[in-house]
Amino acid sequence: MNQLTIILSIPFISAGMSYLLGSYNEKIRDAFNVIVTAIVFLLIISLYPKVSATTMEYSISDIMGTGLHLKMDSFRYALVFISGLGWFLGTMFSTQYITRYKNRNRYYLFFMLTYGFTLGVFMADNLLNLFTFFEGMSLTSYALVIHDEDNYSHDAGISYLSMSLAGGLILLMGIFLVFDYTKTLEIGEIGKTIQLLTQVKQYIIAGLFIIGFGIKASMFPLHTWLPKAYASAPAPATAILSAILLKTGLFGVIITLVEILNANLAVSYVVFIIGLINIMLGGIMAIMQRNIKRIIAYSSMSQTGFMLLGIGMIGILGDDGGFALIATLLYMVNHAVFKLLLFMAAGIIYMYFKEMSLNKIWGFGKHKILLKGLFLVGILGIIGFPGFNGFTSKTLIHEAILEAQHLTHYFIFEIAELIFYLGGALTVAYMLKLFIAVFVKENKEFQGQYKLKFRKRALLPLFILASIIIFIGLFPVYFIGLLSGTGQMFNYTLPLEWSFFTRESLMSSFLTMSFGIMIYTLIVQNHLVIKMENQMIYVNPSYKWFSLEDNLYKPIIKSVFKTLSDIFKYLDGWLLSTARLAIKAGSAIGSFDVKVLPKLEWDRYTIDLEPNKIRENIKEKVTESKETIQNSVSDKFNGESLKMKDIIESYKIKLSGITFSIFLLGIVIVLSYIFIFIKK
Amino acid sequence: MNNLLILLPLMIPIFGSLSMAFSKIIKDKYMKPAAVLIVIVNFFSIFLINNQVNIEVLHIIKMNEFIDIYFRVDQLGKLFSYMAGSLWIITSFYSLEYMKHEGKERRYFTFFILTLGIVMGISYSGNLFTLYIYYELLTLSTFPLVIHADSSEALQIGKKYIIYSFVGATFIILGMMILFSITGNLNFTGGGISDIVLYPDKTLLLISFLSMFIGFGVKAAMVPFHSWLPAAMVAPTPVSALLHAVAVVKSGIFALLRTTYYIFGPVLVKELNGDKFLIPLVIATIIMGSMIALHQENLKKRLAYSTISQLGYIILGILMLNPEGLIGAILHMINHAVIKITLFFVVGSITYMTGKKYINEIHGLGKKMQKTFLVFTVAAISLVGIPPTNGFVSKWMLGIGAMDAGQVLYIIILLFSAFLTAAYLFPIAVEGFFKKEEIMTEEGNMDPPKMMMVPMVVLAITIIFLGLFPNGLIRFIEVIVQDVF
Repeated sequence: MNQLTIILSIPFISAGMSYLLGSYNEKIRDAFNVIVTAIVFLLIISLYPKVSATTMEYSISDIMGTGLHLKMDSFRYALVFISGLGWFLGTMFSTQYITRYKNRNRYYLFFMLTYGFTLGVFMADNLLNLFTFFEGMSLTSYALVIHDEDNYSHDAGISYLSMSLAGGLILLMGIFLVFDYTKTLEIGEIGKTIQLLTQVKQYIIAGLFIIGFGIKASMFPLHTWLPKAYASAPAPATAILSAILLKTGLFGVIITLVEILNANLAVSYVVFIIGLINIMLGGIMAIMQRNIKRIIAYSSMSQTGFMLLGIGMIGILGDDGGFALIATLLYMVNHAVFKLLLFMAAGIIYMYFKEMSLNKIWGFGKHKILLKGLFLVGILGIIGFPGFNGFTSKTLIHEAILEAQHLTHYFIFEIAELIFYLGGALTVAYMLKLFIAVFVKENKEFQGQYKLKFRKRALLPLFILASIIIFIGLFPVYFIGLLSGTGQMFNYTLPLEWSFFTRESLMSSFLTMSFGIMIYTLIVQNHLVIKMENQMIYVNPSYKWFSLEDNLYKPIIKSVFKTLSDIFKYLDGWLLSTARLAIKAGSAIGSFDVKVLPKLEWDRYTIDLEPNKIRENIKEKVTESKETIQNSVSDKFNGESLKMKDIIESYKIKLSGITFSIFLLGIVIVLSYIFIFIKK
Repeated sequence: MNNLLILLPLMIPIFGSLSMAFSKIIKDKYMKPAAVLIVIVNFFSIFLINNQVNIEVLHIIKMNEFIDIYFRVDQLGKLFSYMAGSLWIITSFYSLEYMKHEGKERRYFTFFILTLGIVMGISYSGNLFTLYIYYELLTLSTFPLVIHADSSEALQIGKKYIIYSFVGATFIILGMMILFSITGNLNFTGGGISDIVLYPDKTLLLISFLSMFIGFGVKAAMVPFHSWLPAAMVAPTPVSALLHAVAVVKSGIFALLRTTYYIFGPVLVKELNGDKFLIPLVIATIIMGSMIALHQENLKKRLAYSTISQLGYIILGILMLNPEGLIGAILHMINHAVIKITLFFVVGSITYMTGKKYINEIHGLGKKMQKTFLVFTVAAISLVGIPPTNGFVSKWMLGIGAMDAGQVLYIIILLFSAFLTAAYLFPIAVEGFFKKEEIMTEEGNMDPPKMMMVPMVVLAITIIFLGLFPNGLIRFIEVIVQDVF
């Protein structure tokens, strides 16, 4: 067996084994899972020399119709690496965190299954395999999102699952088109033939793929599932969702743009602009939130924007796209690392209170030095403080923007630079809000009486992550060397030298910081807080805002659904209902009251020939009949009153002989006609 | 002499069921083992004659060219007989346990086995007339199974079933007569009756095609002749599972395959534009089935409407009139049979063990019936068409067929319906597994007895196996396709 398949299959096998072990002994299962993820991580590390030397490929035919085709180049390796790291630390953290939850066994089952599928997504080189793993990942991570089984998480779960499934189907649509146009499913091959297609077809494919992957990457306007899902999943699962699963979507977008569409310029600009929107929207929403997890969740959305910016620039920079690619990749790795740290730290707070609202837990962490320190490292990482990892990737993205502007002189890049600063400043502001609320303020409720509810061991993964943040931050050049290796990176040539701690980059970092502090003091302090006597209450005005999901998607879907199902319900019964209607109409007609006028009788024999008498006679008769008619009309008449049914019946009897014979004749004529017609 | 072997699978069940009918021949004690034995022996006879090379044609009665009953073994017939034979075995095991709870077992098994013989007749019939005869017999032999409960509701629905079936049969007769008067030949020939393309009277051929398609479409639950299918869910679950998701409706599909590809042939149908007339109905079938399934609270009814929608997929594949579409259709015929029978078995087990029939009654039941709901989840995932399950493979082939036919619309409809499928099936699994339990008195494991559990697990494994390694089956089907195109 190949190394890649071994790495890929271990999580699946161990998922089942851990389930069986767990029903026997939980401690053994926990240890087993940690060891397994550690082994996988070590295997991934041991892959490094090979991958940096050459691209690894491996395929098995005859599985799933089209065969399984795996590929590992430096780019995929970086993502596989952070998955390995994320799951290793996530499992370690889970063993401490998840102890007070129900259904622990199920949690680990799906946690490990998601691991396997995610590795599959990053390794697959066949669109169908990619789709398989992608769908599997959506389904298994759904079980993680709704792990709490309360209404809130089910609500989030429905959003997550339905959007994921819809995204998957849209992606499948794209795959169908690609396969029809290019007759191949190998991702590496598609790029070669797709150029022969018309622009429109390329754009349609691009649209379908980017929507399909963009849902996982929380691209605007497909991000609506994100805050809910992140807030409802258990902390280690959220950490994984944000740090790794989000990257599968971005990975898909990169694959689409770079490998399939050969860095199509128009699509690159679209991605770029969506990135700008993501930065702003995510940042603004994050600053409004009061729930720690939601703040970090929206922060993920905002950070995704930066990565999308980088992805867009791969195409925009053209031949220098390799620079943007490395910048994006570095950003993805960095984001994974600090988001893991932040969500795990939030998880530790949650372990104390089962509560995430700033209004309840403000001032909790003032004396928790260790946690405070770790959280601070995460925050410094995310805001891009020099010496921490976020700084390195932000610097690269910034340089890429400057270069793009230099290259094209388009106005959009000036806006982009502005938004880049603004987004960074927003990041500073909301992280400052979080940090000050939880770790700086003094709250008398929390003095001393909250003993540790977890073992110190739970902080170990956080320490590892913090040290990685600092390591990357201090030695970025070395790390990029590791990242890019000498293996292939979509045939881009990479810059030879990297410089990070230049005067400009430091300046721009401090500009962002000061700008962010300004936003915090001006906006957060003044508008998002209501000061009570001895307490501050954070408010979230965005609840009243227009919500894409509640005010747009749901009504549209509901109305479409309702009209469609009304139509079809009608159709479902139309044969029967028309028959019933006919019967009803028949009986309704049959029950009409019909008044039968008495027959007017003329006495023929009394007619006299004298004109006067005749006249009189007629007059008499006429008045007589007039009376009867008048009587009958004015309802005084009590004569015969028949139901229509009876009348028809009586006519039927009279006519039956004739009708029947005519009917028979008709049938004979029609039948013979048919046969003559046919025999012709 | 060899040719007479073909009678084995046709006659074993019929004689079996006749002897089953009398308690003097088969004692009560031996009834159930005997039933299973007959079904298994029958499968071996199927296996035997499907692998006999030199069986060609067996004429039973030949009064004239029209009234000519004869049997033939070809690839499509082999496939169908294998499918029916194997699923019958699985169902017979399942019913052994399940029917304890419905009663009247002797009557049930009598007609259960009789129906098997008739389905065999359908799969081996060599011309349209024979197919038609067996098709009518199928209605009659399944009628007692549908009204098994003997309640007035069941009888009412039985009446509905009979009326719908016979209306369909009338259409078939009409089409057959017209066709026979034109061609004088109703024998199945791959790619259509020879020279049928040359007959000048296209309008009549079109009328004949449409009327036959609609006639057989009644059994295949094509809109607007579908409403017997959800109603017939009043039958015991194994009956619903086997007859109304597998045997009866699939006989309809099989007959549609025969008329389209073995009587008229894809070339002629395309020339007649027969597909254009029917596609709107089929699309309505697909979307409508899914849409209405969403509104059903009764689990069995939900599955019944889902069947309607899935049958629409198959008919769509048939009407694509290209090799990939046909592979997709035949593959989906098999896959859907396996998936749907699994789903029905699960719902049957839920009813059997807890008496619950509605979706809002099964909160947290998955924690008590873990294996059962796991099987359900696998089948549901497969029906939605998520890899690596067999449902995805057939949908993939259908999608490729649609692209070949140049119809992106079909794919959009397939995917939209797949989304709806997820919307009506996943909530059942989610209710079962992820909802907090309501007060439930029974403790511990509530999975059904082994006799029911084993068939379900076997089917679930089949679903995944066929999803991972579909190539063997596809190769088998490719032979059919090569014969036809």
